[in-house]
Amino acid sequence: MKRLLFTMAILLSCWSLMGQDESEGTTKFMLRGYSQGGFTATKDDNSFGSVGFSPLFIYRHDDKLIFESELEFEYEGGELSMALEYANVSYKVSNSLWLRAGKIIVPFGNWFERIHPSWINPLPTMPLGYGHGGILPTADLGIEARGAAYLGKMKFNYSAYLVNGPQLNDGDHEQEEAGMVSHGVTVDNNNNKFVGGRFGIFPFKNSSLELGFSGLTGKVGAKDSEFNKVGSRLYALDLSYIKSLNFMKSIISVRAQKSFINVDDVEYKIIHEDGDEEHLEFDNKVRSLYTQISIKPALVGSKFIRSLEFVGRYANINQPKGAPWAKNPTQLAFGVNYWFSWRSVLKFAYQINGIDTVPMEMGHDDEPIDIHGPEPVGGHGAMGGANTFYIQWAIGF
Amino acid sequence: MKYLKLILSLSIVVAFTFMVAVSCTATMPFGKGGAQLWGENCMRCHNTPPPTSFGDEQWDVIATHMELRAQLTDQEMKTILEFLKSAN
Repeated sequence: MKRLLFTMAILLSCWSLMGQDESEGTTKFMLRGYSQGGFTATKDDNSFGSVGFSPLFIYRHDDKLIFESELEFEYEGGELSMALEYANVSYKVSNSLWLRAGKIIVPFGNWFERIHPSWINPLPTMPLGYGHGGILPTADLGIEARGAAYLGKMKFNYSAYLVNGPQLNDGDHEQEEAGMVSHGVTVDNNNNKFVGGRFGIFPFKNSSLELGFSGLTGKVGAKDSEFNKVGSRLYALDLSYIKSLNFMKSIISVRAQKSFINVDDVEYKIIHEDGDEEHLEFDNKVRSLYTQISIKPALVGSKFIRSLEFVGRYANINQPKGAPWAKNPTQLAFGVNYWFSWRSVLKFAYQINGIDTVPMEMGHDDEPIDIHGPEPVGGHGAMGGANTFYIQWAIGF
Repeated sequence: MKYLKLILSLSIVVAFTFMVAVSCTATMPFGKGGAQLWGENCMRCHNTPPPTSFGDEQWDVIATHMELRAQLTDQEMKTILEFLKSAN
């Protein structure tokens, strides 16, 4: 009830603030955002799924200072959940340098920062590894420098940042997750900060192709634990190619990202229910990949056909052999979308989820656990589970 | 020691930023007009919005937001904004 009242208060505040859009002066405020909801069906079950609403607040003090924040409300299973997706203030130091502080979207790869909103993401789910509880960073507390410029005739963009960073689960409390790293934890577990950055280049003059390299490194172990020297290094290579192809009368979009997550090898102590103690040591390297293609026949004459979009995506994660949480999930999704306007869409998609369980080397009988798969209809990536048919509406505003 | 690492990390970020800031030879999009930049940059992530979707005051806010989010150069943002306002 408190959450409901809080939500209503937020919405009423937003409604009154929207009136400021047309005001005169240099100070400008906007309320934007997006919403989505839908229907899911598997072989055995079907249901109208969750509904999400994500208001985006933008306060532009002047052309050098801006505050941005995105909230996320999601109603699912009779529960309303709320999250602060990001909230940060940015200052323009020069024409090619912005400084930002607060809860920032971590510029790691080309997915989350660019196309996570449901009205932009062409599928109802995210690629494996993204979303709340995923293995890849999405948002964190810290500071960032970012910008773009031209070197010669080639455009590039960059970001460099310091964040609290991911944390290691040492198996003390959730021993079935020993060796996993968690992202987006608000309180840092040590005094070490993660250093990260992304560098993107546009080799072609028309900016159709962007190639990016991301890196993030720091200590993941808690400062007062025996794991305080354990470090982690994350890398990603990403590609995006978006081009209007006249011979196909279509706009084609190709995206891909290969991510590498390396955690220092250490020994984890697992205590079973029967009191037996087990020591786990494994090569803690996780690899993930997603590739996605979408085609919009936007240049054809028929209004109906040019409102369509065809999309396909493949994603996988390879987890370390010997880890209690090891699985090798795969995700194959196909979809057809109908765009009512440039920011409102109805999506139809079918997703085939596969999991190859990686055998334990240590030989106990515990089943590997499912690492948290974000919810499907709310714009997050489903991991494992039955093959699913989705219908999702999404609107940006 | 922990402060040394923090200072070192900060120094790397500052040095990298400074290096980028001073090494940029230009922020000019090399003769591209506002319409071309608007098409090229918007569709990198989402459908291209018609200029009439927002008023001039709103475009001011959105342009700053997108300069930051989509990592547009200052000149690109200004050229696109000028086009959007002229087409409104």
